[in-house]
Amino acid sequence: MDAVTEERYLPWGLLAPALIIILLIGVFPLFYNLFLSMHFWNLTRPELGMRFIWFKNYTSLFTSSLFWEAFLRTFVFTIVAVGLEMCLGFGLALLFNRDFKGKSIVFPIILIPMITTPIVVGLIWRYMFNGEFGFVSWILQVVGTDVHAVLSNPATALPAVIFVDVWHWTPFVFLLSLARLGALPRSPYEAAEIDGASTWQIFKWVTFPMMKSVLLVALLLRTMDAFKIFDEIFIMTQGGPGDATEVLSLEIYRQTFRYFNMGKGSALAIVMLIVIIIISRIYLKIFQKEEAVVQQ
Amino acid sequence: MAFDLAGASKPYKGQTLTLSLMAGYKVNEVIPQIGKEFTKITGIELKYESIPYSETLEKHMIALSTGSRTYDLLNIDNLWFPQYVSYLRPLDDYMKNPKLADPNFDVKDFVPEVLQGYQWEGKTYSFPEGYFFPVLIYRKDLFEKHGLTGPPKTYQEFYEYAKKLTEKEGGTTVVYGATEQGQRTGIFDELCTPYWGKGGQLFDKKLKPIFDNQDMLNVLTIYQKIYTEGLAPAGSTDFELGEAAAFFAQGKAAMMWNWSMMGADLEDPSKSKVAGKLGYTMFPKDNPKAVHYVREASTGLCIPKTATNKEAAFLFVQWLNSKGTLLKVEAEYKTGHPSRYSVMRDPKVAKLFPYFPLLEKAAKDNAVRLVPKIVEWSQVDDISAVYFQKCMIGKMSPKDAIKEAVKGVERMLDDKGYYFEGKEYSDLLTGRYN
Repeated sequence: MDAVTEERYLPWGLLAPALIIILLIGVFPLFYNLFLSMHFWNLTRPELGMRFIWFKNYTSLFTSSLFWEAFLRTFVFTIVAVGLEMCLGFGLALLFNRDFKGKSIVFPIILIPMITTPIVVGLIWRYMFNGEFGFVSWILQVVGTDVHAVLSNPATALPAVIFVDVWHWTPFVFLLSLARLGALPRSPYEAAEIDGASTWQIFKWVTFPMMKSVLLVALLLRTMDAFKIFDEIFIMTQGGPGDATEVLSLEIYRQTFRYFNMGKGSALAIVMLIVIIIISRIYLKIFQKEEAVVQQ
Repeated sequence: MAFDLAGASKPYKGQTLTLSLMAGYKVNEVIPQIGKEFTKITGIELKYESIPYSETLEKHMIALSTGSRTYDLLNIDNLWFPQYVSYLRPLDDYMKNPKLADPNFDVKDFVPEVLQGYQWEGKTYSFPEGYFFPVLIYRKDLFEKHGLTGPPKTYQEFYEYAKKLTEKEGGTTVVYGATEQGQRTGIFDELCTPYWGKGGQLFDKKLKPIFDNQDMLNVLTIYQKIYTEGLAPAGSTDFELGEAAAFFAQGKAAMMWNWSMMGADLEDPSKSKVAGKLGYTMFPKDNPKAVHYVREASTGLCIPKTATNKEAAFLFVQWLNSKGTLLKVEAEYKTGHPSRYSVMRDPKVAKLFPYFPLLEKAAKDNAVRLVPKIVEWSQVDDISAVYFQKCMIGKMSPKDAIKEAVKGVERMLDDKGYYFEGKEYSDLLTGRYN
């Protein structure tokens, strides 16, 4: 093999193992899912086999009011939960960026929810919210509110699962923000202090602009994750009461593993993927714009 | 002549059977223990995998549809049996094979409806280990305290009893009149009992849902009132059979619609504060002429077509469901859900469970029924449950909930092609019994 040929093919040869793995675990399932989404295939009716039905699964979704309700609910969940997580996480990070008594004890406690698996989180809060034996219900009873079976009431079930997500993932935003805060250069602060800037002005014109990039990353990651929330809601409410907490991923689960409509479930998954890609693109555009501004 | 299991199993000695069992059923906790005897006689090893009830269907379907050869026996709820049937091996050939069949097995000793739950197009796919159906379990002591002389006879009376039996102390309810199983997987079952008790039908002969009627409206209205008036605990929307029974076992409710087998733990003083205080009766029905009005349920072990050791699996199913083994299961392990008449009549066993005569009476009176045997039953149940749950908590009127449920079920069945030819279906498929 001459040097030119080697130079042309060696990189591909070296990349091949990784590319094959990516193709197998990333690209193939995606295209197979796309293929399935255009088929009728019900596992409980194997005698009917797999039938190509063009976009019937998609049209059936888009004409279903349950789908649009779940879609809207997922958006509400994502916007409220991620919004609160960002505010609380960043706020806590600002607090922890200065020294105070007991910081070393409180710090690891705040991180505990983040390292707990979603199923355990769901179980913990399912019992905490239990209408008869739950701690939260007991407190609500003592306080004297009308509603104490929080997960059994459609008006409080969605706020409750949002609360649990905020409890679970605020530490993630907190940790990212704190790491960045600790690494911020000192000189802009010194300059601002010399210029006589107030604390608020320093936050607004120095800290926040320098934090924007990391906050956008946290926002992107959390949005993608919250949009496909499944475990906690599945464990806590199974989408109920009624369909009060039925989000898109639960609908995918129901179509695929309850009704065994593999085609419809796949179509839903594709729709969800497209929405996540659109949201990510928007964030990335903002992120790139911010980067460009910083570099100027 | 006694069946020689050791001789029949000789060709299969050394094989290993893999069983997938549903967690939560007492009999499935017993099988690994009692199965050791089978291994001792036959030399056939048994391996178990326990799956939570709620995950069973999805795990099994994925295994079956991908042609997995992992399992030799699948534990199946008869509610889901039609969804499995294309993947299962019938037992009829084995039952006719003199080398494998026990001549004393006595199929007629099983409650017929229970056996029917595992039959499809004239073929038998399993022998059920359990037989249970919803009954009314009530606190005799509380009935006496409130001057109630006997259990309610109609669903309206059930509601009135619940009102009388609800006890409050300083604004807090200490005893609820009834429990409700409002969870998405429980509510439709619970509503069907009083609906069928009115003589109601879910489908017409062409499988069109027809429960948008006055009977269902009455049932749902009462069901909603029981919840919204605080006669059932607020957490009932999250209750299924286990949660309701646990609540009832603490002495916090006076009446409960629940599956008969729950009596086994409720009568155990180490697990229940109400042991010995309970009465068991058929759930009240409004129409005295309504016959099949409670749903029969059971679990059974079925052999997938892809099983590696089918003959050995048949021998195990046959041994487990023989009179001798099932009697032992009840007498020693107290599972509380016999599927054979001979077991429920056995004097040693019958005295352990006060509700056994009720099981036999229901079977003899033909009160038990199967749900419509359509592959999509779980979807019918689930679609309806969403609206009925909304209604239960007062967020939807009973009328609208029923209308939406019927619309949803009809649309789903239409999508599946049931109405293409406008043909009529068998009573077994439509669940039209009375």
